[in-house]
Amino acid sequence: MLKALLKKQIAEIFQNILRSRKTGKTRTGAARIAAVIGFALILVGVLGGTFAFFAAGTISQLITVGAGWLYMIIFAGAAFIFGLFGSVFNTFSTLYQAKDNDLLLSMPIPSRVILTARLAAVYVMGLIYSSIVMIPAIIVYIVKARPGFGAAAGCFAFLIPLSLLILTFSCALGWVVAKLSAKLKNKSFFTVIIAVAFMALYYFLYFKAQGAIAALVQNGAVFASQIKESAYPVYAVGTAACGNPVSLLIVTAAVAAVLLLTCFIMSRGFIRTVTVSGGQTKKEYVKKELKTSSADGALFSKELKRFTSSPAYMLNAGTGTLFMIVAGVAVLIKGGELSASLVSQFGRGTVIAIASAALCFLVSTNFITAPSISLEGRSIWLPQSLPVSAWQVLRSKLAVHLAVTEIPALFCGICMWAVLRPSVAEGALLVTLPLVFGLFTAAFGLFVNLMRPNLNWISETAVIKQSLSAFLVMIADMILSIAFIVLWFILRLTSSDAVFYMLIWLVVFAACAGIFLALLKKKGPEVFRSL
Amino acid sequence: MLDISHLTKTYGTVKAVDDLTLHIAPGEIYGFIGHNGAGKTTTLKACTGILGFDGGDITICGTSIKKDPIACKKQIAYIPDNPDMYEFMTGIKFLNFIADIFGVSKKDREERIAKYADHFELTPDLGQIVSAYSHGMKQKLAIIAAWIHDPKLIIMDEPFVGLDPMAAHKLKEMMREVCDAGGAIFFSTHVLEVAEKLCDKVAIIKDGRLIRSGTMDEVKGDSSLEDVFLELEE
Repeated sequence: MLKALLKKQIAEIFQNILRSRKTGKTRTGAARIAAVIGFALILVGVLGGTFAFFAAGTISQLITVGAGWLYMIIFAGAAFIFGLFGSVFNTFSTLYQAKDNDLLLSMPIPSRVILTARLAAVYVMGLIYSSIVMIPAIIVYIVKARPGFGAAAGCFAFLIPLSLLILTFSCALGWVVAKLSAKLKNKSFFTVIIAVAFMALYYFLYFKAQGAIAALVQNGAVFASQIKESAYPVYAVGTAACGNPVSLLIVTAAVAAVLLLTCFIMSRGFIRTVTVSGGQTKKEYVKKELKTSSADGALFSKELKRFTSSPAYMLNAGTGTLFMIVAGVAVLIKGGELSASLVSQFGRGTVIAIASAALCFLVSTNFITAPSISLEGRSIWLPQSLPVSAWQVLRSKLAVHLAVTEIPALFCGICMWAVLRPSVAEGALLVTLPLVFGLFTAAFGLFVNLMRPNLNWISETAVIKQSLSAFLVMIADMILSIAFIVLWFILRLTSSDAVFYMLIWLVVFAACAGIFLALLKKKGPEVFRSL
Repeated sequence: MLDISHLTKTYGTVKAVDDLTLHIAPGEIYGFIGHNGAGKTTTLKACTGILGFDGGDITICGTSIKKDPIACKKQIAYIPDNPDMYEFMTGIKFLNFIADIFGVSKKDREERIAKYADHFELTPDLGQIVSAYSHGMKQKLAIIAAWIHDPKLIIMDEPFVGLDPMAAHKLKEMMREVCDAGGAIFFSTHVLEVAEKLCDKVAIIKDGRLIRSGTMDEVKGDSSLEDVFLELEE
């Protein structure tokens, strides 16, 4: 029973790898291996590579003073935060909002078995995210510290208690959110507030951590002896991470005990929590005057409502909006000081190119169109049967992406303009380039999702967070925005090249946006009708 | 009103609908019956423009669905067998959305929503989000949405499933009203007693091919529709 549920749960996570969206059939051996390798390359190559780079720059000083365990603590901490960040948003929807909860609860399956299968899915996500940080760190440790075969194996074994600890925290947070959410009327709003608060904490820790890690590395010997004396459990975790078998056993046992306790508490109210319809009392409808709008207006409102009614959608595909508003305000408050020093060091043109790239990067974190076709799900018959053209439907999805992304991008761009004081040409490009890039990301995301939709999802997380289309679009957009500035430095351009360089990228982004918009308009309606 | 001419639809190598021809005139309630997988839903979906087809043509009020799908869709309403609607909207928002799409005037939409929601005793629940609705409530909402723009042709796939007896009775009345006003109804059902009592004409489909059609008397003669259906299916 548990095996069947586990298979279903794992298949849900990896359905984009295991199943071809084009044919709907399970991939054959070679295609499946190719898809797995491609997915792993992106994860290990892009993200893992970045962490390996940081690890290589950190380890030497700590190894020299015999504080290899401190190095492992630092990266275990980073892996914990990264893993928790990656899986916590997933937990609530996977455990409590899955569409097949009613179906499974109606079957002769004990609730603890359903819970275990759901937890396995959360565990896998946490394990993947934490491994992206921890495995490169362990490899760097093994190469530099040469701990011996047994200890090296122990380092990898440490991933078990680490991932279980992430699972424990994810579950506890997911459970708290579910309990509070069950009592609230406006769940979407509440969930977003909680998640944004969590993200703010994450980024606060992330930025504070950089300084703390630098201080730790520089004064490794002092900190190591202090931690050993006053916080022995932390030292024990560090030695466990270095492969010490006794520490590893103790840490694993302790984490397992806490996890079991968490699961026990969760399982007690699981059925009640997943079946509760909300704390609100049923309110009788009072007739009100209805507002009318055009068909295009109605489609836009519907798309916007779809976006704002789903915390998972807003948090995963729309956080860039928040980042851009915060960045704009931060630039106005703190930007003057920073820009003066950067301009004197690099020149105004270079700083403007960097600012434009940074804004493009923030724009790239919004990928609202990328899951928008998939999110139609089983209600796809509605836009297909209503008297609107497929292009109108696609256009409404683009419009929501643009409304949510371009307005804050424009705000942030204007703030940058006000602080950086560029020439008219530089300023116009600083503001326009991210807007055109935003148009490209909207069209590209919609095109990719139209070609690779998943209309048969059980949890919307599957298409918002775990779908190949959302992942591909997000990574491709980010890489493009990073390439923009990396190329600037590779080509050793100077401030005077800024206008010409940005103009070229503007043309490139505009051309790409034009191509995808043309493809959507020409091929889109036919593909949409055939879904 | 609705002309299906030599309709053919294949899925891979399987012919789901094979050279099907039907004519549904104004004022007719036309029943469409057949076993599971016979091709009923495929035919209905093709008539609504949701599904493309390989051969033949479908015209609604003289307009080909292939050539001008939007003009055809303006004339019709469709209720699928499992009406999955926008679960994030409230019932009233969903109805208002459908009215916006069809360009229904404010006065008409308010009148029709009030009338049909009262018919189905759904008015108190219109402020709830659709995801909180039961299957029957969703079915009622889909019916109100279908009737909101006063369509000439209503295509329904198993419309009585999930409805309570009172709502089913109301729906039958509403179907007759549409036809009395010069409209037409084309619907599939497995409930042969309902088809026998309600329909002016009936078509029986088997393995994608039309095996019998005509007025109720022409199809069943002195037997019951159930006997005729079972006989034809053997």
